[in-house]
Amino acid sequence: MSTDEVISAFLDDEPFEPADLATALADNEGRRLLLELVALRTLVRADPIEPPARLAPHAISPRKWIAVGFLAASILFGAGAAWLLPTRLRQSSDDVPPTPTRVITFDTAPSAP
Amino acid sequence: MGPCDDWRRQPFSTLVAPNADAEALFAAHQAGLLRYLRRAVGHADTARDLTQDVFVRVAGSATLPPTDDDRRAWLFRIARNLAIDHRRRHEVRLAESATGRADAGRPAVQDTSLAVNEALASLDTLDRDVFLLRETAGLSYVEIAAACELTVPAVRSRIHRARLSLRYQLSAPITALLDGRKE
Repeated sequence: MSTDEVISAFLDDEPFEPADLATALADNEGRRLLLELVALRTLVRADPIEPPARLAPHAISPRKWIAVGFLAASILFGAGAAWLLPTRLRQSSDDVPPTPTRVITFDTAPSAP
Repeated sequence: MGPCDDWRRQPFSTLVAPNADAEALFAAHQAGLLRYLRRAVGHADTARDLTQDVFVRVAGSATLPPTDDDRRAWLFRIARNLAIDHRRRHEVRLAESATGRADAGRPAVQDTSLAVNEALASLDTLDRDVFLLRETAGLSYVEIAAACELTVPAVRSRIHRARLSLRYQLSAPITALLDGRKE
């Protein structure tokens, strides 16, 4: 077994010859490899942290677009109604005929007997 | 949305399988499954959903493998297949899920986590799966061989290759960790 293999086997609880491990760890490079692989394991086992969500244009679902459209239409409709309704109410009071200021009478010929 | 989707948002502890053995098997390995799937798909919410899917598959199976080792390998084979399906369906590369390179001002711990995801994404798919099954789920070489349909020497070789590549790519955070610095 090579240095790398015996250190991997040691880390992974796989069978190895203790003498091979002793030889591997007698070497600086072997000790460094063991420490680095332990550190690598720590890094990989650490809980991954979620990247912040990015709002891509396609991230808004069609359903959301429909809801936004409906909301915008509702606001426009409400604003339109608020503007038109008083006008309509005013119009209904304007429909009352004005008070007469002059009276015009017509003389008509007497009707034939 | 399938008929099982209402299971997805339930906490794991509330899930009950019709088969007590299946439930016990899932309970014993759910932490490892979640850890493995988080790194395999690079996203915690997706990993949680896929872990629920594993439970649904396990709960729905009529019989379980006979021995504990076989069961573990079977469980993680299901998880691995779900991760592969997910990656294929969404064409997700782990590096993409890491949303780009380090931004200025991003916390250092987050940078390290993203660097790990990016380094994992650069590995051959099978090398990565074999490595993650060992490092995050703690499967033995025999179990990994069964889960990935490989021989034990092939597993050993792939783990070794993955380690050397990651050791090189992550040399900065590894050195920082060994020196007791926050990378």
